[in-house]
Amino acid sequence: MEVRLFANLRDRLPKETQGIASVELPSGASGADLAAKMAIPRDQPLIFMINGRRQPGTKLLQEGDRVGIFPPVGGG
Amino acid sequence: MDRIRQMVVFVAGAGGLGSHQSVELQRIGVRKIYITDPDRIEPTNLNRQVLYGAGDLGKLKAPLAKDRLDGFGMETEIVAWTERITEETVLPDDVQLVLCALDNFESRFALEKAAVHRKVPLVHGGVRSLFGQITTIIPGQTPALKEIVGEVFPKLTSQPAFSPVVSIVASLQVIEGVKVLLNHAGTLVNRLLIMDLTDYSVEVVEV
Repeated sequence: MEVRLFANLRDRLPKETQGIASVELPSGASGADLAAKMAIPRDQPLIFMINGRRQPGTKLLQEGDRVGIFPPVGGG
Repeated sequence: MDRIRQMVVFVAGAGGLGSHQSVELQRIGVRKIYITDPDRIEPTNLNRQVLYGAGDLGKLKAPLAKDRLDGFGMETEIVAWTERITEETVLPDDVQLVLCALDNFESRFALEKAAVHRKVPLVHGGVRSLFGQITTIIPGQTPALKEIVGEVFPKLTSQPAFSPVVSIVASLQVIEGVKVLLNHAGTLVNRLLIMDLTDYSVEVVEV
């Protein structure tokens, strides 16, 4: 599936990918599993966007889903 | 314009976002702005908090913001608060809209509680480096902020807020607040705007 990382999470991917990666996951994997596969620390709060909607990290992913992951930002 | 001239807005935070928001609100001519912040001006604030200068270090932000805004001689009434936003905060009776310009999620959740109690919309906006996020919380109509951004917040590592990004997010919050009060379509009610200026991408997702 296609996953797009936002904000500082993009640093986990090569610059030329512009934060977009194609990831293979076993069936039954969740958004949190995807984040773990991409080595995003578990203690970092994350917002998952699946097919244009916010979803909890426990949401199971389907083949072909478009997933975005981004950290909440709260500075002022 | 007459409807804008009747608006009373509570700006929570007189830092980067709040400085820009209060200037914009005054220029569009709202009736009253409450601006609140318990903190004093520090050197690290001056890169984005446009109401203050190098000679203001150590002064309380909110009263000085009021002085600066009053100095423009516009019609908008400015009221300064120096109370910290806590779980016990009660918003003034006449507030119609809350703009969140705070710098941490603990205070943001407390502010949301106060807005829910007063039954007024809250426009949440956050900034970090080149990134911004905005959504509108309306009691009974939208998910709570914790449902959108999560409940558990370790201390986020400090990343400088880049002043032009602060001004963009602050301006969008003002536009959004006015649209919500005027019942315009296309607001961020039940939607989250995610701005990433590393590639100028703006996404709006349903929440």
